[in-house]
Amino acid sequence: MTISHTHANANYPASPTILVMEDDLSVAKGLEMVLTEDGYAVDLADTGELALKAFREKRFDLLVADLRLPDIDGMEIVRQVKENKPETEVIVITGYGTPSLAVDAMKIGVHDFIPKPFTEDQIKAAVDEALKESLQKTAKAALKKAETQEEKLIQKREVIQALNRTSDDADFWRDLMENGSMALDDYHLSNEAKAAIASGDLKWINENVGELTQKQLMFIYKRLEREAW
Amino acid sequence: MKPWRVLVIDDEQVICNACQLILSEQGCKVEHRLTGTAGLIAIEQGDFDIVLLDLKLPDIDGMEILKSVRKEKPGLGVILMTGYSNISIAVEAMKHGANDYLAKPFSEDELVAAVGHVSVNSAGRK
Repeated sequence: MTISHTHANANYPASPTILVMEDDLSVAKGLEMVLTEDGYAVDLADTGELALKAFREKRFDLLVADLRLPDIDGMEIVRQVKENKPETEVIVITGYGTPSLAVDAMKIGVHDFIPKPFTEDQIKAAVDEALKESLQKTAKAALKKAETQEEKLIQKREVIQALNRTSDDADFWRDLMENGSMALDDYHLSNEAKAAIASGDLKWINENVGELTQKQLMFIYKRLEREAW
Repeated sequence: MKPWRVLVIDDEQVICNACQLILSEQGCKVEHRLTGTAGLIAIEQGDFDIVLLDLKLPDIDGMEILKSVRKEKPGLGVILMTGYSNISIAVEAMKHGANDYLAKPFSEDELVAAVGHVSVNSAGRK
């Protein structure tokens, strides 16, 4: 086991799961042995149909895919997996590779393309790298989600503060009524939120901020009343 | 095909001329440079949509130029060209963010198809 591999595995909450799609039993068993020794949970599928079935039943972090299968073109399986489970990394292994085939595979999102025969070190390094990238992608997606949620919370707080101020600060009320969004420049609000407050968009406020008190909504009602006139 | 602004970086004048002729006929505005250094300066100073980049240049490895372009101008389309094509180079080029890869010698149709398929993210362009 390589040091980098130990590191990659240590970051996974459970053993990464790998599906080996390969009809050559000796290659499939060899990969199963090598990757299992390294701590991965390995399943085998010797046809394209069985590989698709396995993906329907279980989540895999990585697909190691041979392209020449007895039933379906391996590239078609790869395409379907990348379409339906884009988070799954894919390594193609093939004895019939060409640069053009490799480029086509990389264009649909394959992480690596390894011509057969390959060494144990080659496949281990490719698997390590692919799973490390998968972890990074997952971490980035989680971070982005957290940032979006934090931004939503900040915006919600700012909308409430601005609406509270309308009932306490008559000058601010007047400024907002006359100058619209410009009166909200000091607040950390998106243009959409500023426009919603200034125009009295009650639907947006209900959807993005939630229920508010009558006092907080007084400005919105007056704004809508003025609009009606 | 859209009237892309294309830069060809290749030390073979005949390749540059051929690319220029073929792509100009498709409405592209084509310039060329014969070295990696001149190519990098043109990329920095110019406003191109696509770069056709030879891998083996006299001064700088084309793969290094690709890496630099991906860092500095991620939206620029890059098609790598090489006369020494093999799977490992093709895979490396795609891993480093090439949009496509052409093995020399390539046909007029292959060149037009590759340039036509490159989707350019103009936001990353300068």
